[in-house]
Amino acid sequence: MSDPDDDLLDALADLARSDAAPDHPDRRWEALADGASPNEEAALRARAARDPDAARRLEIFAPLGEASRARFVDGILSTLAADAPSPSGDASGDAARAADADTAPAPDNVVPFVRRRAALIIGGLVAAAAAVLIATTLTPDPQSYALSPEIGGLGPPVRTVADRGPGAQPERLPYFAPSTPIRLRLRAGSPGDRAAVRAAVRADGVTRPWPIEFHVSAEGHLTAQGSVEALGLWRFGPGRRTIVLAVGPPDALPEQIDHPAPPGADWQSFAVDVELVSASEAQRRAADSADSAESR
Amino acid sequence: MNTDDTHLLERALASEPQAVRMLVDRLTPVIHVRVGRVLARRQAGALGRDLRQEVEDLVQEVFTALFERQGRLLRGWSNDKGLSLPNYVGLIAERRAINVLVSRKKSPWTERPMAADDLGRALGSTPGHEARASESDLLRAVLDRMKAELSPHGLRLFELLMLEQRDVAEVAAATDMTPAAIYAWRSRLAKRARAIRDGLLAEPAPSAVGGSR
Repeated sequence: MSDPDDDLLDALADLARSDAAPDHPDRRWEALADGASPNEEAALRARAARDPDAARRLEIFAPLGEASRARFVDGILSTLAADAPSPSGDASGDAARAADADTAPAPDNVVPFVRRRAALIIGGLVAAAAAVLIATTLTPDPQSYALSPEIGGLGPPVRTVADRGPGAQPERLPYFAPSTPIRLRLRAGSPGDRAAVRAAVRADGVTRPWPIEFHVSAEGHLTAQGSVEALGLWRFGPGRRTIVLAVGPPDALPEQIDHPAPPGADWQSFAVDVELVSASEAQRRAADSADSAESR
Repeated sequence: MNTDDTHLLERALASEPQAVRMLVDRLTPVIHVRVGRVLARRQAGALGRDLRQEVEDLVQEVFTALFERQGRLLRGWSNDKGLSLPNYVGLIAERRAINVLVSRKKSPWTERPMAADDLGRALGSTPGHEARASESDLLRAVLDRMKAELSPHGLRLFELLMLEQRDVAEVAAATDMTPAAIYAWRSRLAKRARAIRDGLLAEPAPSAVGGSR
């Protein structure tokens, strides 16, 4: 008769092996995090456009780009600086206690550095009120934000209207189906920046408010993300749309925003042209794209 | 490669920004994948959660764990113990992600493993498929707890002995330990797994349906 403890360990090993198996369906998604080929990435994004489960996996495994990595570097340097031993400190005692802790069961109150900092600011999240996110203090430099290019979407990469140049007519726009993840991130130029954001969508020459909730990170970065449908973008209907974001001191933002901001304005504006398409249209385009990639 | 990693690590731990950036570029994919695996397995409990933010926060938390206390965990890696730096960091990343998600109070993911919930129902009167699903969930919960509790060294031994099924002499040689120590570790792993399983089975089922958010 086999030892029950051995049977349990064997069952756990089987499960762990299955998780790590080379033919596990998630390996395709994981490759995305490590930089998949453009064709493979396009195929996965197309799948995400028609399958909510795949869309969630895309959210999990889509590569972490430049803005994220810069944040990691900042966090690491802060951690190293915060833990630097003081001239009279006893670092060896800390190290010994830390070594003991590593072999013991993990504590159940793991509170990471990032979350502690976030809690100190405004509890991590800022609730949206109507069309505007209210933060706590004025930004010291209203021109200090930058729109992250990692917006997502299918097809060609997202470029801001400013990057393309005035009057440029894009041949093809990045497109988003209702289930496509979208991520809007305004990166603060300095950790002290805090501001309000107002969003709007321009469609057929008319700019209408887009009530959307932004989260503020410990570093002051402002992020809104989710599927097109979940964020309420789909209510503007299919077609070419311009997303307009205004960021600045809460009392400086006008009710009606547009891009570009008027000269001398105490707030910044960003605009991104996108195309909203139905799930079936996204599927058709993805199939066309795959066909043309194969024929090359 | 390992020598390069050792040198890069030393420079990063000396707070050299360029080296920190290079290390972030080298380690972000493996941390992302390991954290992503943990999140993907909890997908059912993640509806409505801001997944993208969760991924980024967890990766940053892993980096913080690696570098806090002057890089204590990273200094525990040695390039002559047969485990590459990315694989070593991957083990820590998975452990950390599980730890954070399992222990987070009032978590929208799962405050406690789903297994016990399902098991409570299955032990009621529903045999068959549901019971099998519960056994599978229980195993998953035990494995997650094991990964969360074990040190990187313990996880490495679990991998070598159980996943790769290497013999004791081989593991002893790979880890610079005695065969007796390996046997002791094997016994310790088995006892710990049983204790975790028994603990999960003893946990009371939630009193209200839908109690886990």
